[in-house]
Amino acid sequence: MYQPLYSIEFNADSKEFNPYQLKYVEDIDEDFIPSGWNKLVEAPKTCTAYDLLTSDNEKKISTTIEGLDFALDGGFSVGQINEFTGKPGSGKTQLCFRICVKFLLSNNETNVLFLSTNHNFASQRIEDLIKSSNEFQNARDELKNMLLVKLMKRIKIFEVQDITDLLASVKYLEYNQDYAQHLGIVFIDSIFIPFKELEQNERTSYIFRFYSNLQRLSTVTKLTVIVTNSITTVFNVPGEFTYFGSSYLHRLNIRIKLERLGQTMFKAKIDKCPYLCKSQSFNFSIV
Amino acid sequence: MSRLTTKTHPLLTKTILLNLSHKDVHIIHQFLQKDSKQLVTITKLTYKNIITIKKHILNKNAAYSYNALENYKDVLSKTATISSGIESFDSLLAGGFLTGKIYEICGAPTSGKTKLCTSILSNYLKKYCSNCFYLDTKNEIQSHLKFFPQRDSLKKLLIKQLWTIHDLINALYEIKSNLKQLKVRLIVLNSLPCLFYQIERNRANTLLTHAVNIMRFISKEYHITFIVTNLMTTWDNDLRLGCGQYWKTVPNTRINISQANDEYSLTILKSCDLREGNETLIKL
Repeated sequence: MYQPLYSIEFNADSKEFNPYQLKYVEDIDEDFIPSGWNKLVEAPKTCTAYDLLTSDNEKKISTTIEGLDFALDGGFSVGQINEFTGKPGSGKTQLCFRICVKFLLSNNETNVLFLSTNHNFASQRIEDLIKSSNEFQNARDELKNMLLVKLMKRIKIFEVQDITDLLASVKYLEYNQDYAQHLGIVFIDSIFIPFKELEQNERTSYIFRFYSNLQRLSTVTKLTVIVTNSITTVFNVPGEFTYFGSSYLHRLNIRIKLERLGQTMFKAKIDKCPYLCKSQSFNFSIV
Repeated sequence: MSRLTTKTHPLLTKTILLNLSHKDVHIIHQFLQKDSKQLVTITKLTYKNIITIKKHILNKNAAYSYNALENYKDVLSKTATISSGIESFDSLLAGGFLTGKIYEICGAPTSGKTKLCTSILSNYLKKYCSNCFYLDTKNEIQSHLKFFPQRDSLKKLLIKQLWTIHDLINALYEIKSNLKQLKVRLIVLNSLPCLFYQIERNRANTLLTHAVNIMRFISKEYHITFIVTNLMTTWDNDLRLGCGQYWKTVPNTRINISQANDEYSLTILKSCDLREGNETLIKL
C-alpha cells in the first residue's frame, strides 16, 4: 500500500506543484522534489519506554500545597498541561504567584513567563511573597534589594489583549527557541477569556491546535504549562461547569479545582490526574 | 507507485517513456485511460504489446480476490488472541483482542481510558515479551511508566509522540515499512480526538479516512490489533461519541468504560462478533 499525496499537506491537485499529476509519496524522486518535502513526510521518532523512563530526571515544580505535591508524585512535571479551575476569588492567581516565587527561589537558571489575559498580574504581591520567604529573610541586609531585583527580573509578562495576542505569544516562543529554552514555567491566566471570543464551531479546533503546539514546545524546551480557568453555568442544566466542557477536559493532563472555604482557607481538589489520586482534596491557606 | 518507469514493464524503454511524457502521459492512470490506438502511434509498439502492458499493469495494481475458505484458513493459522490480562475483561471479549481488528475504548473524560490502556500494555509485555507500539498524543505515558511492573520489559514498548493527524499518518506508514523486522502484535493510539479536533471541519473526514485506510491495511496484512481511545461527551442528557459520524463505522468493536467508585464498568456498545450490551466490572 502506498501513501497518497492527499494524506500530507501538499496541494496534489494543482498543476503548479504537481505537474505530472503524481498520486503517491513514493512517486516523488530525485528529479522532482517539492520544497520542504522532508518535513512533510517526516514521521515522529520512535523511542522505547525504557529510554524515556531512564532519561526522565527533570525536577518537578512544587505546587506549594504539601499534600498535593505528594499526591502528584512531586508536583507538576515538564511537558504537561496543568490547570487550576475554580470560581472567581477561589485563589487561582494567588496560587500561581506562590508557585512562581517558590520556583524562582529554588533554581537560578530559568525564568518564568506570565501570559496575563485578565490584567490580574500584581507585582506588589510578588514582591511581598519574595520578602516573606526564608531566603530573603536570611539574606544579608545590604544584599536584600539586589536579591529582590534579580528575582523580579526573571519574571517576564505578556499582557494578552485578545486571542490573536495569545496565539502570537506562543508563535513567538516557537520561533525564538533560545528565549523559550530559558523558561521554566509558562503561566496563562486565564485561558477562557481569549477563547471565549471565538464562535463555538471554530473554538474546539483552535483550542486543540493551540494546546498541541504549546505542548510540543514544552517538551522540546523543557517547560511546564500552568493554566487557570473559571467556572460558569450552562443553560437548562443544573450545576456549575468549567469553561469549554468535556472535550477540553480530555485534552488536559491535570486539573485541580480550587474552592474558598474562608477568608484565608482554601481547598484544592484533584479532578484529573494520571496517578490514582483522583478526588483527593487538600486544604491550604493564603496569607 | 503511479509513475511510469522502465520498471513498470520491460517493453517500456526510456525513449518510449520520453515520447509518452511529451504527450502528457506520466502516470499509469493516464496510460490506462488513453485509447490503445493512440498509444500505438505515440510509442510505435504493436497493438498486441500495448494490450499486454495494460493487462500487466492491471494485474499488478488491482485488488485480488480470494474465497472464504482461504480466508478462514488464513485466519486460523495467522491470527492470534491477545489477552487483556484481566479475567473478566477477557471473558467479555470471548477470549481477548483478536488481531486484524480495530477496537475502540470510549468514555467520558477521566473515566479511566488511559489507565485501561496502560494496564493492557503492561499485561501484554509481561505475558508475550514482544514489541508493541504506544502512539501518544498528550505526552502522558511518562507519568504511567512507574507503574509498569518489570523495567526490562519496557525496552519492548515503543513510543511515538504525535502532535497532528499528519504525524499519525506518516507514523503508520513508517511503521508499515518496518513491520517485517519488528514483531509487533499490538498498537495503541491514545487518543484520537486530540488529533481529530485540530482539523478544520471540511478536511477532517478526508484526513481521518487516510489514517483509517493505513490502520486497516496494517491490522489485516500483518495481523495486528489496534486499540484506539475516543471520547464520550454529554449534551443535554444525550451521550455523544467524539470524532464524528464517519468514525462511528470504523472500529469492529466499541467498548465503553465508566468509573463507579473503585471499580470500572466495561460495556460492549457495538461489535461484529460479540454480544452488544454485555458488561463487566474490573479493578485496575
